[in-house]
Amino acid sequence: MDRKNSPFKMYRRRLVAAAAISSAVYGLMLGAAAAFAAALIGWFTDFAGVVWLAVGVGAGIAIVAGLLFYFLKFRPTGHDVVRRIDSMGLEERTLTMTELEGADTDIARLQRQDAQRHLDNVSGGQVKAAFPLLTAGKAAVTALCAALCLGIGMTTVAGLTQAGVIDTPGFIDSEREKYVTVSYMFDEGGEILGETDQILLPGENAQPVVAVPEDGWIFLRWSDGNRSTERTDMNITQDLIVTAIFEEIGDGEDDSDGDSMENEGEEDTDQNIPADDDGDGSGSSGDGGDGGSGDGSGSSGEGSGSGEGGEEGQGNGQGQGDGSGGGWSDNNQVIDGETNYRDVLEQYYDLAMEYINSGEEIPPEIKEFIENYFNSL
Amino acid sequence: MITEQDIQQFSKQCERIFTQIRRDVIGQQEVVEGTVIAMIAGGNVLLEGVPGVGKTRLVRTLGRVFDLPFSRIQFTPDLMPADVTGTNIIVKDDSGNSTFSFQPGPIFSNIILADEINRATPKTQSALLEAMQEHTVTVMGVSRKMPEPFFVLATQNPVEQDGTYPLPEAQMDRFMFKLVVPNPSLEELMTIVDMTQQTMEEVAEPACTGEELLAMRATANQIPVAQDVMRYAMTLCSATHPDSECASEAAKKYVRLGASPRAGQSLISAAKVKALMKGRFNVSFSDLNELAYPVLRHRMKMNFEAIAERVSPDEVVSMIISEVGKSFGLGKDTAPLPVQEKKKRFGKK
Repeated sequence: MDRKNSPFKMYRRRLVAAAAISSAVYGLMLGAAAAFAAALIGWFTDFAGVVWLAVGVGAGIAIVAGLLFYFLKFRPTGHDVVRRIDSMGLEERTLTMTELEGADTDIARLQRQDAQRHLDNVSGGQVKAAFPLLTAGKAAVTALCAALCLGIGMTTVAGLTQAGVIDTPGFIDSEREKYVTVSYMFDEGGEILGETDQILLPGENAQPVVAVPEDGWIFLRWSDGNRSTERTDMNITQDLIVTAIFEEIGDGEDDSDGDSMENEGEEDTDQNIPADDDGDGSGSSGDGGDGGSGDGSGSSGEGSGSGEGGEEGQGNGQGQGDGSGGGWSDNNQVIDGETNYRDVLEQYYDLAMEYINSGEEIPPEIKEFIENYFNSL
Repeated sequence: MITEQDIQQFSKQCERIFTQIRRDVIGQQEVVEGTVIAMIAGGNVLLEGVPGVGKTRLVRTLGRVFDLPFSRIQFTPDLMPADVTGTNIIVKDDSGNSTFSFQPGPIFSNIILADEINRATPKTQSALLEAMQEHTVTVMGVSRKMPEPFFVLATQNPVEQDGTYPLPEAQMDRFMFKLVVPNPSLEELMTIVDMTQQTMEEVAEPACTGEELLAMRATANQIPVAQDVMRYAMTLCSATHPDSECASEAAKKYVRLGASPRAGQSLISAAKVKALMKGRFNVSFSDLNELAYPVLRHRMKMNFEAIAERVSPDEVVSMIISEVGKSFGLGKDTAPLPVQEKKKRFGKK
């Protein structure tokens, strides 16, 4: 039946309006529930844009759900319209009329006339009763009101908490403090094997991880000064973020060391690493080592470790130890009571570099020596 | 093709028929209407009721009102099929030779009153099968057509069951309607007694000829049935089968054997007549709901559980209508029980 010229246009319009309202009710209900959930999660996690998150999620879900409800459930068909019209006491007259549309028999004509006569006698009250605009039912409307209250309420509370108008409740703070996180990150030139992001209870031990350099790179150290490729952090009591730093082989003479040192310095100071002085001091030595012949036997230093120190170490050639980095700690200098690490390290290091440059594998004793050196720091 | 005049003629005929029947039969509105609907639709009717409620009188009145030849056969245990259908007898012709000559039985009439049909043996009951369905009678290999219109209006007494032979399913299925004749109400009883004190004479006059009845049937057959309504009718019938794909819960629980396809045919034919009687040119769900009881109640074989729980076929039909109605999105009040069933329930309380 042609919808535009259909005698049921008015009824169709009412049914479409009712379907749209029902879809909106159910869509809003879901949207409000989603907004509530988003606001609640944002509130707990102290998400920065919690209000926008809740509003966005709520509006998005409401629109999508509303459209889905309309097109998949409530959208009235022509058949629905005539069935609803017949429910006004027309006893399937309009249903039969639509099926006989186009028939040119006497009975079809009589039937159409009969149906039209009854349709004309339908009162406004009957139409309102048979085509109510709000068909969602009391339970759905109540659920919508509840969902709206919860959604708007929770979003408001989360927003006010974020703005500092309302204090964060104690139970959320305690909940937030319940766990500590450990994050292992890595720079260019390698990767980390193992669980890089770990959530632990305070006092727990982290899962072991291993920093693995790519071809042409070597592992330099962790940002907290740890030189071991494998690490297992024990007794974690606060959040920890460490970065594995790698260095390209044969690239020690340019200023990349200095960059590394800068990174180290930043990481160190940011992350409140224990034994800060040691790390920084040895860091400059490492850079010096990477630089190949650039580093000499630097004396000990008490420096706080910075990129500048590293650069300076290179510049000075022999690592005079200017007090701001590149120094040694005394107890790291002796291997067997008499041999100074620094005395032999350079030889071993040069040998190792020769092996690497020639594509051969570093002999285990040299490798072990260098590793022991760094591990002893 | 049906014309407006046919429709007007139909309405006038119906009005005349009911007016004349009311002169002799007091009350029994549903039964009278059901019987007339069945006669216009071309179906046979089984009237069930206790003695004295006017079953036979109603059938006699119908015979007179429709101005059709009427035969009454009193069914008894010793009644033989030949007593119903007729038989070949040896007669001597003018030249003295003996020949077989068919002597038609009482069944060769337009309206047959098969009184107390369940008192005859199944063999004799079966003599009616062919006549009721095919409108022919075959005796000694020769089939003879019945006059049209042809109806069998049978009566049976539900109480005195000693020495009776319940009608087999095949026989039951050939009745379009089974109508339960209730006891008259107090007012109706007073009117009956008052009327019969003056005269026992039946005063109804012919209101419709056989030809007119056939024309009314042709008119009713033209009434359109919407697809949804047709599907609803067929679903009602299928839902009586406990093992069909659309079996209702009530049928699964209480029914051993459901209604045959004849039930669907009867339901639609009767609904067309009913719609036209109401001045409507289409069949509605309400027509089907009202007619489902007389069409289905005798076509369902109840199981032991139904008998043990004293669940009547009408109650099962009511449950089926409710269940199917819901699936078709019809309102709650789709399954009003027949008056006598309501009375029975009220009486139980």
